[in-house]
Amino acid sequence: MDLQILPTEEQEMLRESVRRWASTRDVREPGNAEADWAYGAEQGWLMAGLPEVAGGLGGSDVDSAVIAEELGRALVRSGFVECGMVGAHLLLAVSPERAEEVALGGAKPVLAHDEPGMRGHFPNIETKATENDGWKLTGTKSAIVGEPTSLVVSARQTDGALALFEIGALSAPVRSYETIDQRAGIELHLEDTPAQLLLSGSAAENALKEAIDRALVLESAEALGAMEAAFDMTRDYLMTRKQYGQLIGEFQALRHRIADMFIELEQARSILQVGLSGLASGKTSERAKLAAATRARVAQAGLFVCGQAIQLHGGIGVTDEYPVGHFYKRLVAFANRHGGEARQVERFAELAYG
Amino acid sequence: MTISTEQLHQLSDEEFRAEIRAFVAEQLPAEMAARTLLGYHPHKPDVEFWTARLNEKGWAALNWPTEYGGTGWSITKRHIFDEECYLAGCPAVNPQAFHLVGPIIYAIGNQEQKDYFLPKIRSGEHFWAQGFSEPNAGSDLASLQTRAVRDGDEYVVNGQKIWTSEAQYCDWVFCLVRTSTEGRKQAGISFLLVDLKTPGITIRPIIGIEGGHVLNEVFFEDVRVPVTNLIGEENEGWTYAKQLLGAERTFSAVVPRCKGLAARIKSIAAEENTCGAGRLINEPHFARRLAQLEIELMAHEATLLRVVAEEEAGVNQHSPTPSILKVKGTELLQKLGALAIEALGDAAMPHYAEGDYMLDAPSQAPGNPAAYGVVSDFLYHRSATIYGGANEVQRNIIAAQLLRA
Repeated sequence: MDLQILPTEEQEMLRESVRRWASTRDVREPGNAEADWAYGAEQGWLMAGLPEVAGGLGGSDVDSAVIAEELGRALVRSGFVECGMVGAHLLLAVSPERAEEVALGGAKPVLAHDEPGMRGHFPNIETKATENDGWKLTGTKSAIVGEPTSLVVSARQTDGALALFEIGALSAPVRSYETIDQRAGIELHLEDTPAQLLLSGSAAENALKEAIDRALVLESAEALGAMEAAFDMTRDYLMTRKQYGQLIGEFQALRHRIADMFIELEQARSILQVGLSGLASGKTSERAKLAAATRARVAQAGLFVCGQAIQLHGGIGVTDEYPVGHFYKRLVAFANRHGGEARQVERFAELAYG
Repeated sequence: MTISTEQLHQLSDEEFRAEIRAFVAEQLPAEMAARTLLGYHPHKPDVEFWTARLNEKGWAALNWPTEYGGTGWSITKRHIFDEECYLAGCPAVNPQAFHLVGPIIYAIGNQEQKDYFLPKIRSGEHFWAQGFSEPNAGSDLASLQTRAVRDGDEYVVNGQKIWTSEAQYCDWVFCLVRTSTEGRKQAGISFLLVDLKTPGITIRPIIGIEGGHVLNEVFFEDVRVPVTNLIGEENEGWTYAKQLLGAERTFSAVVPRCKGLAARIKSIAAEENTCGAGRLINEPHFARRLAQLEIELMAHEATLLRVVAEEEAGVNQHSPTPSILKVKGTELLQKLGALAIEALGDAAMPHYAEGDYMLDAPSQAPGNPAAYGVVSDFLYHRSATIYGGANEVQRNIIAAQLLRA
């Protein structure tokens, strides 16, 4: 593990600037995804993690994670991680020009890989691709988040080989819905749906695996931000709410709880660096193992921290009007995606113990 | 079905279970059962319908003493009855009426109050809300400040209650109000029954994190309540309210609800997997955790039966068992809810709004119909470790009883 322990000056400035914008937002409201996206593009958030050849700033996933964490603090629901970071890198595997479209804010590609029964078992792709007057896809893709301009779909060709295809959002047969954490969710119902082939064979497999690991880690950064915000809010509440004639933060049971929450929060912060070191390692199996570890640990910590944030608030915590429950819902959705925490632990074991 | 309450009393437990199951199958409309089993908040017309059916048989106030319309059945039979009804999807009777204020009225109320209110609870004519918590009196309930000032034959009530479940469709609210500011804060509290139609009452909805409307704020502005609606003695309300904790024990143990959730998890996890990853229930990591929760649930259920039996036999009176049941039941419920979501996987992502999915799911709905209501129910029950005395308060009660010199 080669951890970047301390942030660079540039990363501190980046954090400050994202936080300044994000702190003006109402975390209870979904917000205006289009306006958010335009602002982020203007600020260079979509370029931060891309190489210069693709119109990027030559930064790394560490920069993207800083942005993701700050967006998570404010529960920005505009698909920056899914489309702007994970999606952009997917297209980078196709060509620098395709990634540049994202960097400039014009394209919002999203990975459509998970399927209803997949549960994080990467190879179990049931979506079929057949070639007959162009490529046609049949299958169901679930838990897609963001308001994309195109979907990058994993599918198997008739010989079983993996390939990545692209479908424009306007022509994609989608069922749109609101997720439990108030984001724009999509389920894709493909039935002989025309699609463009992007990558096939090992190029497709490598790009897909990298995208999955990047999603696991950068979504964890967003989750960490949400945990931080829920934690801060709870600490403040313990220092203002009075019952039995004293601040509730003076009760030992609650003091121990907030201490445990802080311990978990710090574990999540640390494992994120481990996951980021994996992304930077360039070693496929190391990257996958550390991404699984990151996802599992942040999910475990996050459900505890945000669940207890509600508990320590009491009744006010379970109301829609109060922000803390919204952080919890983000963590529930986060912890359950891509097979969930238990699957990532299992995946770590498979990768670590063979 | 014509079998009587008394005849059922004579049956073996297994015969009893079969009779109840047959009764429910015959009387409960399938669509009502399906709706209830989704796990959204109660649909009032369904609750009214089922309360009336039960009342015709004399089974609505199952746990009350026979002189007030109870069944006289054994603890085990009542438990079987609750379980059969819950698992079959019977709408639950208004809990505040049957589990909270009813027992207070028959234990403390005067004859007129018993004669007037108890039949209307049993028939479902009166739905009740509980007016205890206030914005600054939650865990520290005794610091409540809603005032009731005597003026001739009336009390004039001013103040605010909060977290008032189902107030929007209840007929009455039972309140703890301050009638004296002298002495200890617990000493000046009275137990008052208030008709929610009285002028001066305003009900404001509070939407929960699950998106549903159960909770409310209730504001009282110069609300005039006849003194005949006082329960027991003035300034003795705190003593009566403390008795509720015991009366609530079977209900707050949430055993049938936990069992229903465990059954739901098994059914979701047993679904054939389209992705060739196998059925979830066959995956050891999942099966082990479900089994662990089911084992915990067995111990919890046995604890419930044991403590109710002990209490009715008058032994082991000073054990803090109601608090044990509340803590264990609500924490199990939350763990089971989390496992249900995990079992659903991606199907837990869509927000299935109560109004849209309770009666008829829209065509082109995303995900899996098995998911309708699951996340909503899970999110709502984050409150289970907070309401009815937060689990931190319950643990203090347990410790205080154990460590009493």
